[in-house]
Amino acid sequence: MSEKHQPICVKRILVSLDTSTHSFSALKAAVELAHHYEAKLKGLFIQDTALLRLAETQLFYEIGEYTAISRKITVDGLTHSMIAQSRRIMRVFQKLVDQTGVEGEFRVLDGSVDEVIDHESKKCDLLVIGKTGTNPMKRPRLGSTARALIHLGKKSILLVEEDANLGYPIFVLFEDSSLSWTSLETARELMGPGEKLTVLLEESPIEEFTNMKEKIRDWAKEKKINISFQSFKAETFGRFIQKIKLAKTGLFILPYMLSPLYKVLVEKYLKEISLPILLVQQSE
Amino acid sequence: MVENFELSPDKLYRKCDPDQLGFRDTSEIKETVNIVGQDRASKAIDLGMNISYSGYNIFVLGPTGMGKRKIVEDFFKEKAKSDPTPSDWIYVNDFDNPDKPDAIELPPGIGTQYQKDIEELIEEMQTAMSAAFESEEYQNRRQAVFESFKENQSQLFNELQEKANKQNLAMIKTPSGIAFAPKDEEGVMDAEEVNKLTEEDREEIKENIEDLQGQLQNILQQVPTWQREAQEEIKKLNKEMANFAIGGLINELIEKYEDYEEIVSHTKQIQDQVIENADAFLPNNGGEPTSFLEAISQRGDAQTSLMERFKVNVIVDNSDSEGAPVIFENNPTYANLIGKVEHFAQMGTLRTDFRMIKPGAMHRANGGYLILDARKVLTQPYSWEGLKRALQSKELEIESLGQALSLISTVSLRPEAIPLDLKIALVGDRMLYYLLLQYDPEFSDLFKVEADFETEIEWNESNQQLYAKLIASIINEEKTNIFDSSAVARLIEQNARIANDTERLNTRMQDLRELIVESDYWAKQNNRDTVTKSDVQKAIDAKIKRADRLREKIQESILRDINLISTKGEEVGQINGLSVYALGNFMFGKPTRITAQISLGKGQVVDIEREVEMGGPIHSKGVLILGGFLKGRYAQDVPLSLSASLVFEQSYGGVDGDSASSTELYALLSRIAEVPLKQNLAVTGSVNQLGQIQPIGGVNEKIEGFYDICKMRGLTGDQGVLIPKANVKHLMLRQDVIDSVKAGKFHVYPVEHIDEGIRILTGTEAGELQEDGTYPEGTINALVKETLEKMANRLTEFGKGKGNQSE
Repeated sequence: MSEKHQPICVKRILVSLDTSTHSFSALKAAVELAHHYEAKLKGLFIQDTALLRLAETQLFYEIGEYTAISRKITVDGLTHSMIAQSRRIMRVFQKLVDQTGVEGEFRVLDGSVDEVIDHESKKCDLLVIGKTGTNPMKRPRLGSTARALIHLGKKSILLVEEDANLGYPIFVLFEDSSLSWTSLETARELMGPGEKLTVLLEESPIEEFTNMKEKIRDWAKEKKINISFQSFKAETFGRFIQKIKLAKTGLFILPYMLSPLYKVLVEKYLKEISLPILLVQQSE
Repeated sequence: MVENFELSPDKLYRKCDPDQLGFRDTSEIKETVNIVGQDRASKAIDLGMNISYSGYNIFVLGPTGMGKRKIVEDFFKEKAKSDPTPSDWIYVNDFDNPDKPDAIELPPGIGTQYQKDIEELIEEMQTAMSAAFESEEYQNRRQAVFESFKENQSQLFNELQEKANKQNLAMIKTPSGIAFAPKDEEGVMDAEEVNKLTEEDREEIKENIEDLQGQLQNILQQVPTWQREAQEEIKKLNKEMANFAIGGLINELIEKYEDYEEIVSHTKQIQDQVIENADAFLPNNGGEPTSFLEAISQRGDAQTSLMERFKVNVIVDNSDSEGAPVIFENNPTYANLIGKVEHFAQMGTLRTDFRMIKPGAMHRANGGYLILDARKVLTQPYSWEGLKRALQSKELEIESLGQALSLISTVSLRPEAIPLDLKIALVGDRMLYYLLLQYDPEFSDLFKVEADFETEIEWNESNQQLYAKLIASIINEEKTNIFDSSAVARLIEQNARIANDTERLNTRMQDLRELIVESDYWAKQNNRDTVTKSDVQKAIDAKIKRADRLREKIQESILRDINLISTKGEEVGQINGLSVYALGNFMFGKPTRITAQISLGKGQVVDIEREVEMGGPIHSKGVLILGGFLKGRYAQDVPLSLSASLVFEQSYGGVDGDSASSTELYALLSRIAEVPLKQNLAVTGSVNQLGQIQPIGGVNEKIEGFYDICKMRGLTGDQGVLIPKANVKHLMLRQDVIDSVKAGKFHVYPVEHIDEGIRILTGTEAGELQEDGTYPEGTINALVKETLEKMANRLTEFGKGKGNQSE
């Protein structure tokens, strides 16, 4: 029951940064959460060694993103660009951290992006990343790094799209699992006074639905929070997503471990949502 | 003493009888009189004020203190009541030429009303625009445009990605671009792995990469076009939203002001501007400025700066006016007169716009009347030129001095000129008027009416009554205590004294006003509710006392015999002349010793003052007349063989005027005839070649000047002054002088001819010319003639002697 469950404990937040707009939104969200949880924030910029190795091949040319001019990439040139990027990001990071009074550190590390993040995320409770990295293709909305990390599924992850902001309304996808209750508790902790929490519940089977609804209602009553329910069927889940698709402010919380049905739904629709998405994983 | 000639005390002063005034005190006078005896000036002002042709502006001339400004202001105010209230004028931004703001004329009161309406419109527009741009409809449509743009882009990238995948190539983001790299099942291949490939494989990969790069370039080249298209679409959407949001507000305003074409046009321009610049109303992210430059640009925030341009600058507001304005500008600087464009400092630079246009006195008086002090206008740099330019062009063009003189070349405002229709009254002294008339050719075209103020009026019964009313009006105006009839009578007498005439009254309002206020002060000092004659006298005495430091010093030096003046005894060739000193408004008389010396000569009378350039031309003329008199009377048979010199003893300043010419003649005759002159008498009066005595100025002060010295030394009973008979009507002597005359201790002798004077001064008859061409023996004329003949003979003898010697 709910009494057994606690919200996720966030003491250390890791935010992975690059020069993309998604990444900047992720940084803003991470700073807000660090402020909320009074957590330490670590900003991370990774100098991709894979890219540097590529530069050693004779085949490696880049096309300027704005100028569309083709030019040869050299190891030196690439290194200097990366250093410049890291400095730029560090300045933004430092400014935001200073403004909010959050305790933060910024690190520049070399290595493969996925590996470094995986390694670094072990030392944190929550990982914040841009939904799409610097990939020129704006879609699909889930970049390779994000996808890889989700698959790893070791930590709670906050995915933030460009221009999206943490805020209200907060939605929680609920199935009767322990992680769903953790998600609910986490949502409760993030709610502002007077705000309403929307719980997404599958309608069928109807007994189970009524039962769950009752349990959540009792929980809400006990915790003295406003809630509303949004019921859906597997085939109508897409319709609900369509409704909130363009919203840029709010939070969509869902548990990491989902039953196969939900997994299919989430994988199908996750990329459609613009809201920040918090994938809740049990703290280690 | 020569009783036959002496003036009786009643001739020394003209009294104003309080009983004749017809009231006990001024509270009984209800009629207000502001102007007395200025018929000529009144008619001129009336003409100038009512004539509607151009150039009929008025120059009000007369000495200072006449109350000219007040009088002309009263005239204008009376006329202005029945004149129509002039229009309001506003300046609005010209959106096509912001440096040339538009002037709009509106009925009185509409200017401020429109200004208020625009302020409200701005506020409402901001709310309406924010609501429109925050609406779900707008947000969704905007998002849809961006989505469609992104969709296009990502579709092409997806296709490219797929192609790359098929060719085992990965699309990678580099720090400043996009690159393709070969990959295998394990991911992107590094240099080592690529090197392991065969030459052919590498060549194929290279070709594929080049092909994909070409396609990528094509896509990227299209991005800016799509972005532009998306921006255009957003802009169109913004305009649509803006138009909808403010359309109602604008139409409401247009309907309200449909009768005013220019306002409707301005309102429509505002609408166009808002729609055109709708982007400025988009909610901004509200971020803090990160740099100095950003701070500056945020300061001039686009929305605020746009809204500021819609505002209305009311330059002339006649909403509370009834009738035409009457303005007096006390500080007629160029800017205060013509208006100015002010600037505000922003980050070290000076900026301005149409809101900084400030009106001048001519704007405020437009459609009415403007009164200016001529001297101030002329002494303020370029005010006179600016005033004339505006009157000539009949429009008001605000131009800073810097611009007008081409001293500043930076861009500034050039507001649209406003048509000018007003009457100007320049108030100044006569000298200024005649100088302008003489030296400024444009002056007579622009100021065709001269309103010349009289400095005095005739003292007759009706004017005396009018004068009393004028006094009562000033008393009311100054809110002083009431004056009883004796005080009013004394005021009238004093104004005759200021006019130096028993038949004239001074019309210089300032003197009268000061005397009234000061008399009131003394009455209050004595705890009296009503001002009496003694208070007026106290005020007169106090005023003299305040000013007479120099007179005291001079008198002191005479009494201490530093300045040698005899008031008793007899002397040959020495006489007491009388001169007048003027210190501002204060005048006083002083006796001066004049002496004469003679020698053989060629008939010349030498003016020592002139020789040392201390004598003015009028004085020299007077002395030359003496020569004419001597030649005419005594040198018909023998040549005038003397050389005479005349001097004002102990005179260390300049001397001018001919009022001492008779005095000099007496000294000269005394010296020639060797007959002593009485030193207990003093003389004033000019003389002509026929020996007639002519009037002089300052007669009262001169008499009093000699009287004071005599009195201080102790009146002997035979002391007195000889004055021209023509000056008798000017006598308004001090009461103590009159009292002494009454007591027979001092005497005033009116003299018509030099013969009368010499008789009084010597006690010897002048002697009339007899048929045989001689004068009766023992008379002055006989003695003079005899001496002159002797001198002629001596000169002849001297000439002969010299001739023999030379032989």
